Amino acid sequence: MRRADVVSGGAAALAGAAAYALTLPFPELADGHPGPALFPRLVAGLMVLFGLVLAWQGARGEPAEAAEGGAATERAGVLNALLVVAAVVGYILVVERAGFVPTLGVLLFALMWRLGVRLGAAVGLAAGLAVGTYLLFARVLLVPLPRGPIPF
Amino acid sequence: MIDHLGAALLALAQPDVLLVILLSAVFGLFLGAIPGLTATMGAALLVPFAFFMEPLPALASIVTMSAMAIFAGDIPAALVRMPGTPSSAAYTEDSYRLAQKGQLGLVLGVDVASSVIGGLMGAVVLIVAAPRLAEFALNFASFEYFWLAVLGLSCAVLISPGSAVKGLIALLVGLLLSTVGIDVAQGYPRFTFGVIDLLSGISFIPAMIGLFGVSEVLRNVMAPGRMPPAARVPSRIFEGVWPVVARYRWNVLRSGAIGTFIGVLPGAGADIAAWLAYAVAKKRSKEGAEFGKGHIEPIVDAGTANNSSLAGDWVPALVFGIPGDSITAVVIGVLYMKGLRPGPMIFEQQPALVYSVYATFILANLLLIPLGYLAIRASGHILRVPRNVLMPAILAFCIVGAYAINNSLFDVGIMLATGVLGYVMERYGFPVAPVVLGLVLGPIVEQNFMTSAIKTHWDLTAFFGRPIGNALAAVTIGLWLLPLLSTLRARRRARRAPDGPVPSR
Repeated sequence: MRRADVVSGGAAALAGAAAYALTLPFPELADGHPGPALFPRLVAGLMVLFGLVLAWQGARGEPAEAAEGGAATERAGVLNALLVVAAVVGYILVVERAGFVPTLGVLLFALMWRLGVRLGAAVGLAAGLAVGTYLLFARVLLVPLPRGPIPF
Repeated sequence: MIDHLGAALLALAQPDVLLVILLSAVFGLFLGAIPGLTATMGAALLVPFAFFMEPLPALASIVTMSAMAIFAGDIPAALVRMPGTPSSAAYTEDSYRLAQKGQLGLVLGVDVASSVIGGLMGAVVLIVAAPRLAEFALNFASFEYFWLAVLGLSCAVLISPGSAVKGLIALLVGLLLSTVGIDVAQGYPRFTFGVIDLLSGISFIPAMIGLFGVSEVLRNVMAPGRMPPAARVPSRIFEGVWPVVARYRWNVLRSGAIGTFIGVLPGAGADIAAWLAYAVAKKRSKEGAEFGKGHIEPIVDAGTANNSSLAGDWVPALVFGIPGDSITAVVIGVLYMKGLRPGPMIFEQQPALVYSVYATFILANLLLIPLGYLAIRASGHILRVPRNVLMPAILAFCIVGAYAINNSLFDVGIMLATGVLGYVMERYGFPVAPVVLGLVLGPIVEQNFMTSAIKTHWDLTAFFGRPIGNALAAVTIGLWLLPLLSTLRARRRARRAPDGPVPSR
């Protein structure tokens, strides 16, 4: 059994079924033909079908080779990835209140520090990159980046 | 045509356009030379810059960046046995083993030469084929566009390497995402959950940046490996290259043709071109058994094919608005952003722009000789750029890029969600490129189907009532039947030789 295929195939089938269920209230065209629901239902139905095919193939297949790397590096890696996700969510929530340069600076510093850049270097690089990005996008390309209490 | 090309070359010779081309070249060489960063990611990261440029430098920057990045992917393959982009994966083993035998200079020299020749061959086909195909495409109605888009979707699944079922599921994910927002037939809001930002659908560019940028950042921080030390690059890299190219001239021609053809097929790009050219070379060569052990022939073949596919990819993108690969999917997004509608009319309405794309392909491939040389000389330094600084910096560019298109933080959220989706999919062995093709082609399929169906009062036989449409339908349905036929053939063969090895996919 290939567990990854059973899991991912099952997940695809479930997602397809959920999407199909969401199309049930979609209206028909005036002449009774399917309208907005036709295409999503077709796609969602195929997703259920092929999700099940993948899960079935996975259940019958030979087990895949074990992934390399120990549990410790795996856990550190997952934490790194979670920090990346948290950093972007934090950016979205904070940037309009704190301003672009401070928010991006903190995000860059947190990630660099977590990934093992020395403290001094992380501070310097994060500040430099945040200011550099601001100058490039806001001043050269004229993107109206979010502003905070300070004008950048 | 020569006059037009001359005028286009003159337009490119403006100092600001040349500067854009040069900077994009450096950007492409840098991205390509760093394993884990791809040409598609480069195209997605260029979009916020393209947004603020005139159409000509915007398209020129993507053409130049992609040509450089696909070549530069060969450098770390030879130096540290890691392909810089997926397009160099087919011949990484040969490149590295030859380099270990003291032929690093020759390998890199052949990489440059095959990339330049392949790139120029692709450009010639683009220049000759695209306008003729566009004239032909003027006769297309919604029926033909429907079949063409379905053909594109089918190619994306059937030609992609790995499990066809996973490719298909990835494509369905993209198609499902493309249905979010107001529908074409009735203006009914689908899957919006009351969120106003979703009414206009999932913004394509932030989704691209997420799928190809953020997912790579996540992958890199999950497994922060150290780069193995790179070998020293000899100073003379073009020595002995010409005899190799001359010896394998037929290979160059064949692989250039294969690469361009794969490029022209909707949805299949440089990586598939390289694998296919490699496979054909292995079958045809007397020394095929030596491939993978350090042979120069597959490097010539696949190195030519991947660069030649790049220009081929622009053929369906310009002529039909159907992406040839994921880079040209970004290009189509950029064209719409500039108010230009890709399709046969663009050749009549914007001839100067189309010719400048041609001219950029020629210029970029010629620039590859000096710039490729410089990149090879600098490769030791590029490979030493620390990942733990680079990844946060790329994430910052992704955030700003996703925001800049609509000045919307919601788009940054889309970027993050698609980034996580792309990461999870790759981790479970699903290719990401079909998601993008689904996103781009989904609306084309649905819109043309609905238009045709409503126009003919749901008489579905009309889809088989026009000669060109019928031909496209026949090819598409034939493609669908291929896997079925090959399974049946394999079964019959297995039944005939019950003790023989079971053929595997």
